[in-house]
Amino acid sequence: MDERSRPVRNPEHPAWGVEITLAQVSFAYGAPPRGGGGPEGSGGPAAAGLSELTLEAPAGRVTAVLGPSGAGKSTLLAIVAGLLSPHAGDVRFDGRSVLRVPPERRRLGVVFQSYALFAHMTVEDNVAFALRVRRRADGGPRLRRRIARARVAALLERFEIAPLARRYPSQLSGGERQRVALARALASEPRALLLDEPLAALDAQLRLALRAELAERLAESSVTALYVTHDQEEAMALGDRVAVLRAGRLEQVGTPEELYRRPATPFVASFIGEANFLPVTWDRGDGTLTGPLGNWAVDGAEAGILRATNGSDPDRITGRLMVRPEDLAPAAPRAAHLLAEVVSSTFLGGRRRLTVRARPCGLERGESPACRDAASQELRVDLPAALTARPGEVLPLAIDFRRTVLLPPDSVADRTDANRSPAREETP
Amino acid sequence: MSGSRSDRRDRRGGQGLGRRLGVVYCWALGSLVLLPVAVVVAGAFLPAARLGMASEGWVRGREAAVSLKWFAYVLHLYGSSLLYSVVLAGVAVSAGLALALPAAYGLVRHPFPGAKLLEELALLPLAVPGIAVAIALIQTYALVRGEWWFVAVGHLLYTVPLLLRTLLHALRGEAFDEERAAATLGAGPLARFARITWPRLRRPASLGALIVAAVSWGEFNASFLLATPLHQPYPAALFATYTSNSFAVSSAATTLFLAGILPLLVAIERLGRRELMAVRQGA
Repeated sequence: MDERSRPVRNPEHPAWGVEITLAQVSFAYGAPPRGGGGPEGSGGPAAAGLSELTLEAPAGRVTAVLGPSGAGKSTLLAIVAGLLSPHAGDVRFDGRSVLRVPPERRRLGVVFQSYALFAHMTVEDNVAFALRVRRRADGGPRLRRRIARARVAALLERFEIAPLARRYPSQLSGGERQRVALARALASEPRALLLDEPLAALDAQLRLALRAELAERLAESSVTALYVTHDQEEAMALGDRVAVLRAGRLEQVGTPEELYRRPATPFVASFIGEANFLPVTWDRGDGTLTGPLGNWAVDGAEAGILRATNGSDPDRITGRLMVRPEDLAPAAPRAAHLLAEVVSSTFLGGRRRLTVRARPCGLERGESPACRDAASQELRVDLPAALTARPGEVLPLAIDFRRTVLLPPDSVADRTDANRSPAREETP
Repeated sequence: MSGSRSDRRDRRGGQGLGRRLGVVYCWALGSLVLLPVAVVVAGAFLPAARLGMASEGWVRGREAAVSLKWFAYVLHLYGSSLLYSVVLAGVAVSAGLALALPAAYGLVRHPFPGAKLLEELALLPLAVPGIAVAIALIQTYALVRGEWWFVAVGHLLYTVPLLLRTLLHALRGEAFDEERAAATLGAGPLARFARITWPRLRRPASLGALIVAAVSWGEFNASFLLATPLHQPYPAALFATYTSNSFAVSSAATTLFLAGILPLLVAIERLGRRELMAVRQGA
């Protein structure tokens, strides 16, 4: 993975905002919520609930919440914002529960996926909205109005939307709307900023440009931010930490690099970047990985195997070895770990993507008809673009075991598989 | 260049012919529809002699080319009905809004089990013939049948579903997102309603109110069946002029009826168009 260039937070600007904690939060659509009914339209049939989700968003940092649609990301955001009440669990700002605090008193800034700009107000009125409705104890109404006007002017300037101040949202482009939404959310100096897929409504090119801009603005404001997205690149570009959500559960939290290098589950491994999974069994006694594709003697610590044991120390572990496409490379036959026949080769500019069919044998025993019929597995391999490979060519490939990770079998996926084919035997 | 210009003229000529035919056709069709109305309106202004009716003896005197005496006659006979219908329309509009606004808000913002069903049920009277509604009302609430406001209840049965549908539509979708956004920006329930919800509802509500006024003004079935001899809404009076008065009198009565409903229809058309444009702009 390339070194990412993320704007560095301004050390002179102190972090402001609260630490947000979700503790064992559960929510199910359709079930009666705790403390009164939730409004209609908040979920819809596609919206997913949450089950016993625990997550911390540190103060002054961007926590990206990543997951496929239906993972419960927007539900999580609505719960933090107070627009939905969880059925169980607690939401805390700086350690204090806010469950009884209505959304209007949580002092948050929310950027909605649709932006939800007020259609009947000008850009300026949109940005000034929070300052006009929020009551403050300090100063009289006139002073408040003067401060509000100055702050709105500064925000319009900062977000380069001052020339649009008198326009209505319907007269703005997608990028302009996004800036207005962000300026509006930041106007009252919220304790945290919640962003719900703010780039999803834009076309690809604009999305990239605005992503960089958004990263900069988040960094310079140093506000606690929860950034919900289904786009892993976006999450990695914007999040100081990324929380991967799946079916309402937290799969893993970590820096983008941790998630890529040391995924905790096969789901994370395949959702953050691409991955091959080789079924293997690790034998501590003789230090070998055994699988349908071969027998390899490796250093267990190095091959990311010991991480899979969760501290315990069993002698044999069966699981799946995650191998990133770039961690497979052509090698001399003697140094190779498996033989693979090239199925297809695609030039992708900076690299070349191969799809290969790895064979379980051939390295030691040579080609034989029996060997060719044996089980094989398709793998994705990334090569430097300068290397060429023709379909049909047989390549000896080496696995960089320093970058592999042994993962437990995917429990959620296995459950679903079992549900789909009830005839299948349950494995303990 | 000159060739292309003549080409253009040719083409325009061809289009022109088709267009002109279309215009003639449309006017012809329109006239067919409008002719009876024109005849009736003209009849309201013409003196009896011109209409060939000598029997009308209410106003005697010099016969002018154009006369307003039929109007005077109608107002004398049915003025109270006219006033009664104006009051009924006012009651239907205000009671309708008073019922439909909270109902729509509640159904959308605080749904409860069965809310959808209730919504469908509330729209049902639109599909039932007016006579059936009227008879159902008479049978169900026989005791209050004599009350002057009973006809307004019949009108409400039609108009509340109309209002409800307009308001429900306005409250769903973007309005909901905007209310949520306003909440996160610090606006309490009252501020949300005043600054976000009401500005969005104002136009649909006005449109709905105009439609309700028009329906109430023109509704015949319930008006006729629910009316008692003491309180006759104007459509019922109109019917009476057709059955028991001369053509000139019924023409004058009809013209008064049209004078009441046409401004409403024009306002509905204009407001509706603006509303449609606002919806398109918002999208």
